[in-house]
Amino acid sequence: MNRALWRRPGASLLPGRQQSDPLQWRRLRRRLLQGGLLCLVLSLFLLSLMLGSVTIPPGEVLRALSGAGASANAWESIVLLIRLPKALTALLAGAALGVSGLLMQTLFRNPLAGPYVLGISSGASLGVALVLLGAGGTLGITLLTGLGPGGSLALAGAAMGGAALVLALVLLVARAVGSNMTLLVLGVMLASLTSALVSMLLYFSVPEQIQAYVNWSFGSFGTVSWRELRVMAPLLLAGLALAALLAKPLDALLPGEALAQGLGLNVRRARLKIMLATAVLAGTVTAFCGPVGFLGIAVPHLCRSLAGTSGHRTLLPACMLGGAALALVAALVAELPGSDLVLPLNAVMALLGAPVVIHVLLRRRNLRRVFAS
Amino acid sequence: MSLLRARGLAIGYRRGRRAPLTLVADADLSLAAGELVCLVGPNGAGKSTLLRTLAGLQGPLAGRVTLAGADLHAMDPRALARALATVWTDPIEVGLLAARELVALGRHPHTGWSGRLHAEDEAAIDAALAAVDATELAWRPVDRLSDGQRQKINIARALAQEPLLLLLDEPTAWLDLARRAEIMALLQRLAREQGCAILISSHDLELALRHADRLWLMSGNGTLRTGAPEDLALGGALSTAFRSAGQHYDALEGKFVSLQSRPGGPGVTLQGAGVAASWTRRALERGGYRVCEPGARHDFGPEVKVLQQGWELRCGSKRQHCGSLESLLSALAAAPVD
Repeated sequence: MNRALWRRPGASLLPGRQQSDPLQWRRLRRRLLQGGLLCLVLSLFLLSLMLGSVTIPPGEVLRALSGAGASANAWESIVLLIRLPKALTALLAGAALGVSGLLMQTLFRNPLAGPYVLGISSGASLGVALVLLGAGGTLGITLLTGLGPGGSLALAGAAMGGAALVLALVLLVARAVGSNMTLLVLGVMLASLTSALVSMLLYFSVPEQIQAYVNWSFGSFGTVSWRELRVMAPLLLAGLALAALLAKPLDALLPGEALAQGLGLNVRRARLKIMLATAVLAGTVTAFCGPVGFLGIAVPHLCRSLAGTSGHRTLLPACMLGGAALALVAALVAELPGSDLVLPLNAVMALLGAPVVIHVLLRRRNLRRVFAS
Repeated sequence: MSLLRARGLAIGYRRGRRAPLTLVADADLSLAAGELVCLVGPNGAGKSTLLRTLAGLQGPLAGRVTLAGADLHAMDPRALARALATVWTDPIEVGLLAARELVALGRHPHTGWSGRLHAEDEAAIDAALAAVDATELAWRPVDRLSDGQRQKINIARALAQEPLLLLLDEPTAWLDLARRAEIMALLQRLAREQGCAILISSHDLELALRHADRLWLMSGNGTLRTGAPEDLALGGALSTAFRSAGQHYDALEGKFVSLQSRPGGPGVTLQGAGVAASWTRRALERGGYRVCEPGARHDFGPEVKVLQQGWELRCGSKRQHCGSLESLLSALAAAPVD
């Protein structure tokens, strides 16, 4: 009777146990998945330190990391000053987007929900647009084209401001609104409003300004240096920690709000916490890396398929690791190792990820099972 | 000693500046441990509103509800979820969870912040699954279960909360007749064996009459009467509450009959006894005929005789053999009456 549930890769590893104790088997499967994802992330991390416009052998990378001094001094600075902060950014941003996508999909019980459904990234875009397009062209262009040391931090500040403004609005309304669906529509409406404002600003801007804004909207992990990382990393780690505490309320929300309330969950408080975690995660990523889309929607689907469960004690760590892995792969490919070209991150992510997601969904056919739609 | 007690309870909805919509005013209710009560009444009488009020999902317009002595509407949500579990009508949708994982959600009010299950939680989950005879469903994905199995698992989830009081809103609405009877029997057993107080709202009057220790009858005009099912049927309260256009609750038969078919139809004499005769009578009544006993004055109408095999229809001097009730009805329709 359990064949459908167990007929997965890896099930044949332990043919005797799956019948005798499914509970043990489930735990083992969860550990296998997390161990596998962790190995994947670590090797991708190492790979992204090695590959780029020049290839640095792994031994030299390790020597640079350990501070022993690489044989060629240029390699050490490439690893320590460029590739390490970029890889760390991809790691953290990927984990953040994967988790916040999961939070939104569970909260809204909707397969299309992602980190940005609350209008956070639109708010951030508005902040950036105001700086780049509105507040005097010269300042904005210097900020982006010059990319002086203070540039991206100021830009991040503007994005954070915009995201926080939208979040405050959504939270304010969420206190009064009873249903999650209303909230979802509200987020979409706020996003439309802010993008309308951005369009207005774009319409009255000169081409250089528009170019600067478009460049920002392509998304990139490369604009984050150690300086920015010192601000970004604590914010993202705090957001991830908050999300990790939410496994129980998220599980309770799986059968819907009414039942969650019957289980003793304070639905409004849980909702606020979930939205706050999402806002911190998605808002911070958008502020420093631009509106990196797609990953947040795709990773939860992939992880659910791999894990074969909607339980959040399994899915939360899986989405962190899966998101980090996908972000690292996308960043690697966008670099086009061996060449000086860099592709726009968002485009690469969708080109790589969409076929994978389509394949998984078609093979598993479980979207309907997960979301009953 | 009653577990749930409501005094002077008024339920309904507040409507801003307008006067509140009151569905039931000034009701006194009580529910004891180990008791199974069915809440019956026509559509729109306020059954679901009463259940929502008793589940703490909405406040009363007036009055006070106490659960084990504590004011239900002032209780901490977690404490309330440990004392009271609810099962709603809609089939449950939880995504990719095994049945046992869904039942495990019932442990939420008992577990700590991380939701980690301890040995006593696992034991409670197994006990809940065993109580609804669903142990063998434990590792099936919920979405692969039939509606009846899913409802059982949902009831197991409510039992895993280890509640004193179980509220179920139309738990059998999506199920076929056999499954309905099975779930009702299961709930009756749970009340007896586990000592839960169980309140079920139901459209299904016949099942409610058969299984409930007491009925709460909402008549739709703002009154709520309570009593043993038989008392309410005998006293005529059931007929009054369910009277509607064309339908009539027949206290003698214990079922609803259509008013149109009662008087006036062409008379048919029925001869025979036993199961076959009783089903023949039902078929004839459904066809709009007035069924007369053989002793009555019947010499003008057609006559149906239940044979060992099939039926014999006699119209005046004509005799006709019918192999099924369907062909009997069509033969009757073709026969000249009078």
